Amino acid sequence: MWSLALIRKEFWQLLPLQIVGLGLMMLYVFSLCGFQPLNLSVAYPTDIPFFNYTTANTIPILGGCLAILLGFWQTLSESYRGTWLFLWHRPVSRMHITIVKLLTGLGILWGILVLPMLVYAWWASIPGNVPAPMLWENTAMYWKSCFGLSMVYLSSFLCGLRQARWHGSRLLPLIVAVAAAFTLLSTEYLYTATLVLIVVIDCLFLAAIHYQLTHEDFS
Amino acid sequence: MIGESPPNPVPAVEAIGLTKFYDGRPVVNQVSFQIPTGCVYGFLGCNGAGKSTTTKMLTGMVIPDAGSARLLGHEVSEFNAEIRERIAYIAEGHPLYSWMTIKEAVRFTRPFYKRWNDRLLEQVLDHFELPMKRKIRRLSKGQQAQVSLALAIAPQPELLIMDDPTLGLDTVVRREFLESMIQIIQRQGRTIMFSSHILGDVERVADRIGIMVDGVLRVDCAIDEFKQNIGKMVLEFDRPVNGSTSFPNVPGVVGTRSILNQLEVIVVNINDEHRRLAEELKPRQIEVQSMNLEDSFLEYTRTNRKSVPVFVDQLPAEKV
Repeated sequence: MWSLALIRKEFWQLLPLQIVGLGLMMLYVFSLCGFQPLNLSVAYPTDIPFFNYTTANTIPILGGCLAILLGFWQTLSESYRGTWLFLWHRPVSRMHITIVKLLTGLGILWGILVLPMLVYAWWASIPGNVPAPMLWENTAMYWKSCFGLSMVYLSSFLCGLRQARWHGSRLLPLIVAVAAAFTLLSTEYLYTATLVLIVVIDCLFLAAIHYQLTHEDFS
Repeated sequence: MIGESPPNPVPAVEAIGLTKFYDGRPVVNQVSFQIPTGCVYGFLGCNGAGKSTTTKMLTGMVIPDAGSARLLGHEVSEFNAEIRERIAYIAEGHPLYSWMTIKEAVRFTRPFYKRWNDRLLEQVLDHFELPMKRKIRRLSKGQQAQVSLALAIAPQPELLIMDDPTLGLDTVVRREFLESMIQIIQRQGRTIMFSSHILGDVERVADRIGIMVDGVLRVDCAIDEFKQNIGKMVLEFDRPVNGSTSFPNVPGVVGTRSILNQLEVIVVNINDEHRRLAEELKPRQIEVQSMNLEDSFLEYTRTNRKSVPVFVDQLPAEKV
C-alpha cells in the first residue's frame, strides 16, 4: 500500500527529530519520577502530578517547538530537495498524500508527548511513589494541551507549503496558531468549548492546506 | 470510405495557448503545440527561455495563467490517478530522496502503481549496473539520472516527460543516457518529450523539435524540416555597414547582423520577397548560404529577439 510506504518514508525522514524530542521528554519524565539523569534536575517528584509547572507549561512549550519543527521539516525538506515534483506526480491525489503526511506527523507528535506521560501517570498513580495524591482528572489539561498543539503543527505545515512569499506573511498562520494555542490551552474553564474551538481552527488550517495544494505552483 | 482520410489519433501532448506570468512578466507566452503519439520530441531553448515552466505546466506542477494542456487526451487540470499512472515525469535535477538506497527508493515508489513491472526495472538497473544497496546521495549525477529513469519507466508509462534530463552530466554519460532512454522507452512506440539546451542531445534522438525563445515557441517542426528551411543571406556592400543599412523586419526574418561591409540576414523559408528586399538595398553581391543545425539553433536563439514565429502554423496540416 502506498500509504504505508509514505508513512515509512516520513518516519525515517523525521527520525532525528523524534530522537531529540523523545530524549527531552524522557529527561523530564525521569526527573518527575525522581531519577535525575545527567544531574540536570529539570523537574522534581515532589510536585503534584500533572498539576505543576513542568506539565502545565514546560512540556507543552517543548511540544509546541516540536510541532513547529515537524511541520516545517515535512514540507521544507521536500522543497529544498525538489522532491515535491517527485511526490506530486505519483498517481495519488495531492490531498491524499498530504493527509497521510499530516497523520504521520501528528502521530509522531502525540506519540512523543503522550506515551511517556502515560507511563509517568501510571507510575505516579502507584501509592507511595509521589507524596501527593494522583488524580486522573488532573491529567485532562495536559491531554488538552497535546491535542491543541495540532493547531501549531498544521499551521507550520501550511507555512512550509506557502512558497516564495515574504517571510512575515508566510509565517502568519503560525503566529495565529501560537496566539490561539496560548489563549485556548492556558484556560482551565470552558473545557468543551475550547476543544470545539481547537477542532474548528484545525479544520480552517486543513482547508487552507487544501487550497494551497490546488493553487500553489511547485517549481 | 474511399478518399476519406483516417481519423486523427489523439496527440500525446497538446498545449493550447499556455501562458505564465512571474512578477508581471510573461515567462511563457501563448505556447501552443502538439506531439503525436510515438514521437520523440526535443524541447530546446536557452536557460530561462521557459522550457521548464512549460514542462511543469504540462505536468500540473505549475498552474497556467491562461491556456490549457491535454496529455493523452485528458485535461491536465483534471488528471486523476489512472491518467497520472500512464505518464512519467522526471523533473530537472532528478529529485529523489537522497537518504534512501536505490532499493528503498524502489520500495517506496512501487506501491503507488498498479502496472509496475519488476522485470523491466531489474533489466534497466542491470543494464546501468546500479548498486542497489548504495545510498542515492553517494551515486554520481549520471547514476542518479539512471535511477530516475528506471523508476519512471517501471510503471510502463505511455508518455515520458523529462525536464533537462542530461543537465550536469558529462558528454559520455549524457550520450549513454539518451541512447538507453530511447532503446528502453521507444521500442514500444511510446511518446517522449524532453527539454534540453544542448542541441547535440536533441539532434541525436528527437524526431521533432520545438524551440523556445524568451517564453515564445518559435519553432515546432521536424528536425530535417528546420535544417532545410533556415538559411542565411549574406549581403556584401562597398562600404562598411555599421548599422546604417538595415533589412526590413518582414515575416520569416529571424535576425540580422552587420560585420564590416557585410549584412547577414537569417531567414526562414527564403522567398522572392526576401530576395527583392535584399536587392533594393543595392549590395555588391548577394549570397545565400545554408546552415547546419547547430548554427541554425544558435542564430535562432541568439540573434534578434523579435523573430517571428514560424512552423507552428503548419501544425494542423501535419496532424493527418
